[in-house]
Amino acid sequence: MKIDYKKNKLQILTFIVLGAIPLFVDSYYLDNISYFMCWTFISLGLAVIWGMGGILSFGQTAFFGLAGYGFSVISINFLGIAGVSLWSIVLALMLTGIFGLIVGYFLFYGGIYDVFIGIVTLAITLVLETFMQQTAGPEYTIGDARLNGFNGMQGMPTIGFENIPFGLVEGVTQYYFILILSIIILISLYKFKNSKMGLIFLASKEDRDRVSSLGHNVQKIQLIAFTIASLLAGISGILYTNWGGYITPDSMGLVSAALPVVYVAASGKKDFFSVFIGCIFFVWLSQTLAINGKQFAIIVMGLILVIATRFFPDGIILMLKNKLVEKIKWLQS
Amino acid sequence: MATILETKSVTKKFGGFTAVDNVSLKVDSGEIRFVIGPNGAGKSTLFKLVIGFHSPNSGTILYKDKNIEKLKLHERINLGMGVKFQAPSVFSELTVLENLFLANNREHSIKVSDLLNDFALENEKNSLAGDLSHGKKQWLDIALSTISKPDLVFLDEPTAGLSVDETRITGEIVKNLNKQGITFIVVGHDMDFVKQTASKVSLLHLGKMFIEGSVDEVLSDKGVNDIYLGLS
Amino acid sequence: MVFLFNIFYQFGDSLAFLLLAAIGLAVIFGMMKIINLAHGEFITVGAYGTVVSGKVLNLPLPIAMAFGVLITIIFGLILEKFIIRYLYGRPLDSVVATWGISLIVSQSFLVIFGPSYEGLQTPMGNFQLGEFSYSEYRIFLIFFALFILFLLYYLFMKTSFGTLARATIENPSISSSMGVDVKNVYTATFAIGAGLAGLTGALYAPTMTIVPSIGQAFIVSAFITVVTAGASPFIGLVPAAAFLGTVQTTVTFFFKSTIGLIAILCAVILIIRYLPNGFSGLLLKKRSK
Repeated sequence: MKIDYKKNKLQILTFIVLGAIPLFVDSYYLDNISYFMCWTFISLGLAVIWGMGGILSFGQTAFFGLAGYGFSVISINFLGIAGVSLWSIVLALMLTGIFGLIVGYFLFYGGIYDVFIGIVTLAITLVLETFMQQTAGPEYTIGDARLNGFNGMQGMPTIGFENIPFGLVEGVTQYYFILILSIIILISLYKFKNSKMGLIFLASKEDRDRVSSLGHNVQKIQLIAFTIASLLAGISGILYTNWGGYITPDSMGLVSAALPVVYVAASGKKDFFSVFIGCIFFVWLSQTLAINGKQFAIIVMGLILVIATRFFPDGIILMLKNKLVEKIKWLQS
Repeated sequence: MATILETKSVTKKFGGFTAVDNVSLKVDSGEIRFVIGPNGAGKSTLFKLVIGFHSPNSGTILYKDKNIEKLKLHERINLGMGVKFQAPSVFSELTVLENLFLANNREHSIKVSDLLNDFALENEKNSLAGDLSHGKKQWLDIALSTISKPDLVFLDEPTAGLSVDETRITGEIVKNLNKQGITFIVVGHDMDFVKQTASKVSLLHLGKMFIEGSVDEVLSDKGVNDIYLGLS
Repeated sequence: MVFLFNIFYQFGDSLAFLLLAAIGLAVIFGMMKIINLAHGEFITVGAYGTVVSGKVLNLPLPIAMAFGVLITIIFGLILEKFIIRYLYGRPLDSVVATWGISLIVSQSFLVIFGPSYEGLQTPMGNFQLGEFSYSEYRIFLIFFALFILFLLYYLFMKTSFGTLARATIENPSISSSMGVDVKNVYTATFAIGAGLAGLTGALYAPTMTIVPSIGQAFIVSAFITVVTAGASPFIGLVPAAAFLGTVQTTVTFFFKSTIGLIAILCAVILIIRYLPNGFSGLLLKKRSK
């Protein structure tokens, strides 16, 4: 399906602005924006399964952590081997995707739906977190990589692509790496949404049985969407680990599992672009608030979640975006 | 005439309650078969057994002489069936065109423009299905079940909630599609609709097959009268 | 003999914990089908209410506990009036909103009361058996938990209020057309669920370190137990708690407590998959055969 450039002026403008930012801000702020953008992928994944398909899964953080840990273990073990970054990313994502397939298969082909998907995926996330928390002992080592329990892993090598100018993914290159990846994924997700499979998935949110009765294999499509979401969560996990050089079991805890839900619910789970922008905004917001105390930041996040759900079920950012486009006629076509 | 659907002694129990009791039904290609009976007779359950919503406790279900029991709902549909459930189940958050696009699954389907005209939905093609009147929702639902030009279509109470005129138009649409080669099995309550549209009638009572025959044969049977008056 | 008693005590303790953790949620999720992720916070409110009133107002323990329950009921009523009642029929949204509430409450407690608060003494005494010392209070809790459950069963199954509540929750439009003020029934039932959670917090307050995340320790177990109990919580809660208690005690005995938690988390995953109506579904099916 062709992309209608006229109708997407706001999106294109936004990305032009984002692309130009490195010319105007210093590396400290640039690194911060890169950090905010790391979180957009896991949120987009949730927007796919929850916003499109009505499937509220708390498992995104499990895939986030799995990919982060997987990336760390693999890159530490393959240190020094040519192409280590590429392999680490590919293998970590494969691991995450396989896990996503298994969990998705268990859910959709096992007849688990609605609220129970939330409970099962939350249980899985907590199992992973609890397990990782108690890996402090030296026996929990994979190859050269020690899992380290509560404290998590550190010191994994930064993503780098040899033989490519500016191949080390940090600073400005990290920023553009993430930005270009975001654009590619957003375009792909829009194509998915407008495809027949996307339509089937959308319809399945409203009436699964009717969709089946029109001859579609609903479970297969739900499985595919769920796996896509898990891979997106994995991308966030890898980028986050690369950004900070660490991954801990906390990233799979109850509060961490709540964050993508906050970002997506408050942004507007039905619109990918709103989720992208909203996620950047809300991560920035929680960081800023955290200066006044971590508890304070979490309280505000909780408030946003409650207010969004109670008063703006379509999402605050989406609502603002729609108002903006309405007011500025030029943006409409 | 080839048999398109056959159930052989099919039974379905829910706990201690037998909804469908040893029902053998044989429908030939080209028919418009009505399955009628008072409330609770087991019509919808029989319907759901055939399309694969439930599994029978005993008995066989044959579609074009093939046993379809191991197939899931969507697999049976892809063999050439269409379904319309009792309550209008259109996708209210999608437009009429999107609904039809979703249902359009096979190569030789009915042209969308013809369908829109037949079902008087031409003006609403870009409206959300949820905004349609009840009658138009029913028609869209029927359109969804027929757009892929299936060989066999099941309609469960297609005229529920429709006015007398709308019911009559529905009957004409069904007969028209039948002439284009679609066999229909219809669960219905409205006797005028039955008389207008049916080629043959099967009557269920308390889960069992009571009588089968032409419309006149069945409706003039004294036993049938008693059943409907609640006398037996 | 001593060893057996030890096992019995561990199991009973686990059973009481699971039952009391689950009981408020059993009313709100089990009956009303509202996924209340703020359940842990109700327990926290009950615990803090008890401890603060006990220390600040110097109330005797049972009165302090009653105070804790009362505070929790008021808290529950406020939540219901302003947020929860708008979410009936929107299960995924009630997950999200109650999660937000739980974040707000737990962090607010941290801000207001600090990371820990001086607790109360465990009442009753201890007694020796072999080389272990046992708390009489925790044994009392085992029987009290069963007693509360019995009271609840009686309330919802045998009284007219209980029947009214169950009927209204199952079919609000018919109830309302029969003159029942549906809103009030929902509110009352929610308040009962909140009060019970507050009671759990009150009962356990003297035995635990009082931290703002005290409720978190309960919520996972609560959901696991309620889901395992299934569609009819009052029939299914005891078998569910017994089953999970056994799993947890056994696994913890052979490994450690974190593995015990993992074990019951895995148990609930399998139960949802293979026994979707929980233990009550299993028991009711057996009865109707």
